[in-house]
Amino acid sequence: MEILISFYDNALIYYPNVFFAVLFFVSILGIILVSIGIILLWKNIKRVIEEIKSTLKQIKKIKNNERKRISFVPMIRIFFEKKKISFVCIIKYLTISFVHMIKVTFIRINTALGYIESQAEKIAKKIEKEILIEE
Amino acid sequence: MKKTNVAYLILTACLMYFVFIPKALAIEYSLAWPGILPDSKIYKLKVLRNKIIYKMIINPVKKVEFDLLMADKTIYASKLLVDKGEIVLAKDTALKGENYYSMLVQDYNNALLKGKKIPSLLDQKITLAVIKHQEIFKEMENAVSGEGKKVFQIVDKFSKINYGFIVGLRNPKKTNGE
Repeated sequence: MEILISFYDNALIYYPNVFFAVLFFVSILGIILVSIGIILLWKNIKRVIEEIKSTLKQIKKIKNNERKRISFVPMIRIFFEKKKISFVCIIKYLTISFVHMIKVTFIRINTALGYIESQAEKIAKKIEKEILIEE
Repeated sequence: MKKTNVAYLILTACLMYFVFIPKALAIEYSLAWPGILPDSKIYKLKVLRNKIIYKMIINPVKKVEFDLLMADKTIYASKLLVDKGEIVLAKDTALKGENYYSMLVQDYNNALLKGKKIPSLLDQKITLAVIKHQEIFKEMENAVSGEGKKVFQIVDKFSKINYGFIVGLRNPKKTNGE
């Protein structure tokens, strides 16, 4: 190490112009190599950016379609497939699922009531017919 | 009779030491070529480069070596300026050259404080350089008249003081009166 330091000091004292010229060329070479590296990496960076853009588009599509979907399960499946899990998203989809559940339950109760009504009407009609036949 | 002989011998030895040896040594020592002189437009750039180099040197002993080289170059540049007839600039340059020697004293002290040993060759060079510098200052004194002469005398005095410091650092016990 001391020999190296001594060599460096001697070069600096006795050949300062050569030392600074070498330093200058080495720094230029370094800049060129770094810029080439950046250019080569830029393609990969571009690809990654495009991928991110496409996933963002898909997420936007899912958001637009989420109101139209009755079932929230496939939506959440895509959501997990894309690995877009965050606290805000989970809260959001839990509230959506809760609203969907209430909606479905209301519709089912409605249909059940309608079914009971129709059945009751049928029974009533049957009873009416039987009474008429007896009379 | 014997006492006078001994005294005579000591006196001649002293004369030999103070008169002949320094001159003989001064002939051996040659100053480095200064390159660009202070009257050049790019001299400021050179000074900046030298300041950067001074900051970049790691080894304290090498700093001493650098100071010596700078002192040599600057004093030689001063002599060249006198030869050119630029006395005002030569005076400033001589003072700056001696300032480099003052820096050398400081760096010499720092190197010793850091436990570094000054090589004997460098030590010898420092001594020879002082003799050479003083020789040049004397030459410039003779070449210049009036106020310029006074400045070179002062610089010569500084040179002697600085060398006194170096001697003191070499033999700290003797200077302390022990």
